[in-house]
Formats: sequence, structure tokens, C-alpha cells
Amino acid sequence: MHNKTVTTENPYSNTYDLDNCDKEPIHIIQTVQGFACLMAISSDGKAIVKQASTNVNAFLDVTHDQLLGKSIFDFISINAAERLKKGIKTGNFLEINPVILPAKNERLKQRLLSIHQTDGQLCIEIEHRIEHENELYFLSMVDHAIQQIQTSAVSQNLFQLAVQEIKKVTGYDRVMIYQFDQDYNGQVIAEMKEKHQEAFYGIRYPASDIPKQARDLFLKNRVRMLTDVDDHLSLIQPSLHPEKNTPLNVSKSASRGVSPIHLEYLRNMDTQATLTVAIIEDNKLWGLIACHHGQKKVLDYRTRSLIKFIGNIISGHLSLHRATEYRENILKNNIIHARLFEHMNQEQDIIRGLTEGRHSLLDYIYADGAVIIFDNQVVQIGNTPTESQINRLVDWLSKDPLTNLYSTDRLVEENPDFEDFAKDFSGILSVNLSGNISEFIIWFRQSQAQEVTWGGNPNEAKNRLKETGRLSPRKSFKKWKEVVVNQSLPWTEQNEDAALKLRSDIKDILLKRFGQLKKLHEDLSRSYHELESFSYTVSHDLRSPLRGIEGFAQILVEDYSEKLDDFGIEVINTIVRSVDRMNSFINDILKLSKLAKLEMIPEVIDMEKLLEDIAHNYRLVKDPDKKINIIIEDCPPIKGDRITIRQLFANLINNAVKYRRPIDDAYVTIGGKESDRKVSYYVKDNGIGFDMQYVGKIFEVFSRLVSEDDYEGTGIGLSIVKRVIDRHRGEISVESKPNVGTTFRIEFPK
Amino acid sequence: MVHMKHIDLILVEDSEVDGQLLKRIMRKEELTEDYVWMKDGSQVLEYFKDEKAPLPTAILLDIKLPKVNGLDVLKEIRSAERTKNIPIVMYSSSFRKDDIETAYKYGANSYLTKPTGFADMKHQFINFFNYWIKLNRSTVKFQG
Repeated sequence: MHNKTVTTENPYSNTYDLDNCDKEPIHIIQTVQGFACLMAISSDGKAIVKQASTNVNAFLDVTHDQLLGKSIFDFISINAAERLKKGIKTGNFLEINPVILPAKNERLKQRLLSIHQTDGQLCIEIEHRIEHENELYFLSMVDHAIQQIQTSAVSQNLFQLAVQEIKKVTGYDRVMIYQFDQDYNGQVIAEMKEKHQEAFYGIRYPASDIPKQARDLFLKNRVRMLTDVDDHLSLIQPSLHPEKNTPLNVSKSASRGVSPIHLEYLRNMDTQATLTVAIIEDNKLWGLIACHHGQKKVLDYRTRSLIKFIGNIISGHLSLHRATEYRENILKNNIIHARLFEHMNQEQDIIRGLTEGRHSLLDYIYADGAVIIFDNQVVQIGNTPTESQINRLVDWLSKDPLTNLYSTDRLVEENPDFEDFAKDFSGILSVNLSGNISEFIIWFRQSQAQEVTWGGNPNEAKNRLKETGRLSPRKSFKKWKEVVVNQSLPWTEQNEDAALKLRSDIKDILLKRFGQLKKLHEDLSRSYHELESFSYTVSHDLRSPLRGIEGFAQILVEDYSEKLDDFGIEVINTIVRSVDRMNSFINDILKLSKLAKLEMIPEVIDMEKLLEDIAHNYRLVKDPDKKINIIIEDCPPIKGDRITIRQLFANLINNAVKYRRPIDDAYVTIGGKESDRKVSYYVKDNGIGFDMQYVGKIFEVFSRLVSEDDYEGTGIGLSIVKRVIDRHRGEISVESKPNVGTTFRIEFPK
Repeated sequence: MVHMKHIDLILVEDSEVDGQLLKRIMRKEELTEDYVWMKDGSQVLEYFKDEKAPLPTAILLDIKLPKVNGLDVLKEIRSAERTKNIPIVMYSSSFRKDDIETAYKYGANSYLTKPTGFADMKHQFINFFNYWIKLNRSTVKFQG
């Protein structure tokens, strides 16, 4: 505490200005406004005046010098003194305040005396009683105001209602409600003003506009009145308590003076008088009701008490509203959540479920945009950064796969590398959908400074405020923008819970789907297994009677050949040939059914070795009718199931051999090449070829373009080839010209 | 049951067609007439219950049989002291790995898969007969 003498010219021993107004010790500003006088009295029951403001003479029939050291009881009526004594004795000030001092003479009309205690020091304030302009109806107006407030529904704008009623009751030109954010930056959220005035609705200002000490004082003294910015202020004399040697703590005094900085600010707003009422929620300063008047205005103790009362009602009702609103939000959110979940479930597609329903992710959690990164897709909703910016963000978020949720309202601070887009999208709320791959849902909020504009109307020159001072609403707004640059509306706990809930749902759906797929796989596997054993059984049961037919036909020939003529023998030969054919069919059916097995063992196949191996068998053939030149060119490896790939190429080479033309340089060439995403192979021969109009039938099971007499075979070779390619998710195409040759082209994905 | 002095082969086969073909082969190729053809598994086991029944040089045993299947027959025969050393060759259309492995596990000496064509069947049976029966005729001890 400063132990310096205070003079009337310079009430401060130190100079405080914009840069250090935080440090201004306003609770011991030793000035008193003109509408009341303030004095410190002893606690011994004698009420000796120890310190007093120099304007006591305006309120008592005694001068300042005469008063000091005397008992206050000597200067008030007996009844008043009794009342005051009682209060001091019991300590119950609520019961006695205000003590009415009856009119003494023309100069001293009826006055109100109030007593309070701070830091163990009793203080008394005396002010003139003022008839309210609507005195008769005042109480009923207050009553009406309170009723309106208390019966307001959550959906109504409680604040607009409040400013309306307060303006009616108090008569101030302009009544506003300021709301503070968590950093105590402020915003005007409701306003009632005179028609000619510029609107301040929507204005934002930085926390520094109302320094911390001022905010703290509001918690102690909920109503603050400044009757006249040009008021002559009185000093408290002596400045230090004669015994305690400390300055008077004026925090609870209604009449305490105002810091010059604040006065300057008010003058820049063309405001002459103010009344400020605190709105408290949860023991914290939630906001303020600020009343501004263009002329001097005084409300007396009773009126102030009633206004304070209205303030308390509003505070209470606010809590109620917010609790109800919170509950309603949660309910609404639960409904949206349920709908999203239902939709995801129905669609069996997370992305469709989240984007095509009635509610979007932005309904679910308030945001400017969102992105879903899932299943190799990036789906943007609303306003978001660009895809490449999102990718950078995702890379960064992926670095910590164990974190389920990450949120910030100041991304630039968190990671300056992202400034290029984070200055626009400062808020991100992100949940990861899986532990090991990058799958996220991210909500974006734009920077507040971007979103908020307040300008008033710059063209209304007549009523434009002075911009000359250091302090002004416009400057405040500009300063606010600087403070909240790169910050978005912060994410609430409710937002985060909602995000986590959605994440959990998605995981549940995925798990369920995985379970279903697994079951489907098992069912399919079982079916194929059954098909295989069925084919197997059938083929075996068919072979036995075939053996019989062929066997006994042979026996007929062996035993009765002398008795059979040529025709008879031919008949039997036909029977035998038919059986052979039937056996071929059975073999091929078995081969085909084996391909249905689901277990393919993928490996990287050395194609050179595989093809050489197949070719080797054909090179051993001495029969000139089957002689063919097998040329193997570049063979890049193929990733696939060795057995079936072998079958595939064996079948194609077999066809080339079977369908060769009877020429000397019959050949088949096999080779391949590798590209970015696939491996392509060709099998090209100069055999008999076929008419391309039949190309559609070529891969059908048992379909042939030649007769069985000319060429053996059942027509299953190429169907097996097609099946193998399908299983490997490849593609096959063929070109052919009769009597020229045929080329097969196959592609395998890598 | 008429006790022949000597049995070359017990053929256990339920297929009428296959059995007739084998009979034809044995006759036409002049391999033997001293054989018994049984058509179900229980018949075989019944046969061996009689201590005095002569042991065959070899058994050709199908797997798919009514009443008691071939693999169980095989196991039974191998479990009795008297019959555990009789050469048994499986003769089945099944080339399933499990069947083959189980047969060897239970003590089969060989496993033949029935071929598709009659000519192959003939050659296969002649080879079987020459090795398992003709060669072993003299070495079989039989109880008289």
C-alpha cells in the first residue's frame, strides 16, 4: 500500500494509464462521488468518525473538521441513532439499512443512511432520498419486470427481455448486457436504446477494457453507479486511519470514485452517467447489465437495491435457463446422434450414413465444416481447408495413434506450420476411427475474428462517436480482433463427449460388420467345401458304372469278335469312345470345382521357372503333329497362387499346341511386362485361330468352337483360365484371326 | 462255409460291376480260381472268427463297403494275432489324402486306386496279382 499524501490536484501518487491500468489499486481510490458522503466510524459502539469524505456538509449539518473525532449519533435524529446503534450492536445491517434521516431544513431534506463493514472497518454512507420519476408505479413496474423475467421460456431471449424491462424501470437511455467469454473478452448480446443512438449490439471488446480488479469488485458490490462523469469528486480525509494507519477500503461503497481511465472511456461514448449491475453465475462474473445515460442521473439507495434484486433474479434465472438449455441440447443431440447411428447402420456404410441423412455432422456438433477420412475416401462437408491441407493435418494427427480425441481452438499456436490454413480454421476437433491407419472425423471452426463484424453505421456522421480518445468502442473492437486472432469459438466438454460417442458408435458398427463378413466368409468356405466334396463324390460314383460300361464293352469285343460284323464292332467302339468322353468330362468338372476352394496361397511366383517347366514337357514330345516351338520372353514375377497360375498357363499353352496349324514354324510366344500397378502377360500363337464373332462364348464352360472329332477336349480349359483370372482379380482379353493365330492378353493387379 | 484247402485271395468289393470285371480278368488271364468274393465288411470279420478258416495269401479290400467299412475291417484284422500279418492291399476309387493316410496308419501294405479304363484295370490287377499272390504263395503258412 502506498503511504503517500494525496492532493486534490493529483489524486494519484502514481500515474496510471492504458498500459498499466491493471495495476491501479482502485479499491482504495480515495475519492467519493458527489451524490453521497462516506465516513469510517469506530466499532466500539460510540460510532466515532475517524475518516470522512470532504463533502459531508452537503448531507449533515456539520463541517468536515467539526465531524472528525465526534460520534455520528450527535448529528442524526434520535430514532435514527437508535436504529443505527441496534445495527452496530447486532451486526445485522440488512435489517436496518437504509436508516431514514428525516428532513432537517430546506437544505437537508430526507436522507438515507446505510452502513456496511469491510476488513473489520464500519463505514457509513449518507445520500439524498430521490423520488423516482414514476414513484407511484415504480414498485409495480419492478414487479412486472421480475414476473416477465421469471416466466420467460428458454427459447425466448431472456437478455433482450431483461434490457427492455430494466430500461423501462430505470429510464436510462441505453441498456446493454455484456457477456464474458472464458478469457473475459466481452460481447454485447442484448441492447435497448433510444432511436437516435448508434447501436452497440454485437460489439466485442478485449478483456483489458474492464481490468481484473474492476471485475473482482463486482463480485463484492453488485451494483455500481456513476452519477456524473464531470462530477466534482471529494477526497477522504484523513487518507489514513488515525489508529490503523491504513487507507480506507472502499470496495463496498456505492459512492466510491471512478478511475480517470474509465471516465475517459465514458466520455468517448457520449455517456454522462452509468449504472452497472453484475450477473453472477456459479460465483463467477458471467456478465454485466450496463446502463448508460446521456445526462447526469442519480438513483437512490432503495432504487439501487431493487435493481440489484432484479440483477439477482436475472442471475438466478440465467442459471435455470442454461441448465434447461443444456439439458435440451443434450436431448436434441441425443436425437441427432440416434438418427446418425440408425442411418449408418441401415446403409451399412459409414460415410453414406453420416452424409446422406437428414442431419449432418454439423448439426451434431456445431462447426463450420467437417471432413470424414475413411475407407480411402476423403469427404468434405461445409467449409473446410483444402484436401492437401487436410492431408498435412492428418499426417500430424496420425503421429499419435493412441489419442482418441484431439481438440484446440487455436491451431496456429499448437502448430505454427499450419498457419497458412489455421489462421482461417483455428478450431479443430478430431477423433480417430482406427488405431493403425489414418481414419478420422475432423470438425473445423473458423477464427472468430473472421466471423464477427461490428461496424455500426459509418455513414451516420451526425451521431458518430468521437474517435479522438485513446479509448473508444471502435478501438475496443479492433483490439478485440487482435486478441482473438487465430482463435475459434472454443469446444465445450459437451462437444468432445459427442465426438467420442460418435467414434464409439462407428467402431461398434465396424465390429459388427466385421463379424458379419467373417461369418459370410465362413459360410462361403463351408459351401465351397461341400461343393468340392459333392463334386468329388459324384464324380466317383459316376466312374464306377462307366468302368462297367467300358469294361463289358471290351469284354464283348474280346469274346465275341468273331460273331460280330464290322458294324457291330464299330458300335462297341462308339460305346467305348463315349465312355472316354464321359470320363474326360468328369475329370474336368473335378478340376473346375477344385478352383472354387477359397484358400489360395499368394506368393511371388518365378514365372520364368514355371513357364520353362511347362514348356519342358511339350519339348519332349517327338510326335511331329504336336511339334511346336515354345518361345519364352521376358517374364516378370506374378503375385498369386502358384498351383492355379500354373494351371492357367498350362491350359493356354496346351491350347496353342492343340490348335496349331500343320506348318513347320508353328510357335507360341509367352511373355510379360511390369507397370506401376499391374503385370501384363501375352500368349500368342500362329495356330488356327477363330472367328471373333464367337469370342463371347470362348470362356464358357464346355463351350467349343470346334467339333469333338477334329480336336479332343471338353471345352473346359479356357473356363478354368477365366476362373483363375477372376480369383486373382485380373483381366483377360483375346484377339484372333482364322488361319493366322490367336493372342491372349492377361493383366494381374500388383 | 466250405473250407478250401487254400485261398489265394479274399476280394472284398461291394460293386457288382467291379467284382464281375475282376472275376473276368482272373479267369481270362488264367490267374487263379482259388478266391473268395465278399460283398460287405461284416462277412470278412465273420470269416476270420472261425479259427479253422484258412488264411488267404492276400486280401484286396475296398473302402466303401456296407455294414462295416474297409478301413475298420482293416483295423480289426490287424488287431488279431492270427491275422495281423496277412498282406492287405486297399482297392478304392478314393484318392483322398485322408483315406490313403488312414489306410497306411491302420496297417495296409499298399493302396491301389481304381483306374478309369478297363485296360488299365486289367494291367493293374495283373501286376498286383503277380507280386502279392504269385510270389508269396509258397511262403504263406496255413493252418490246416
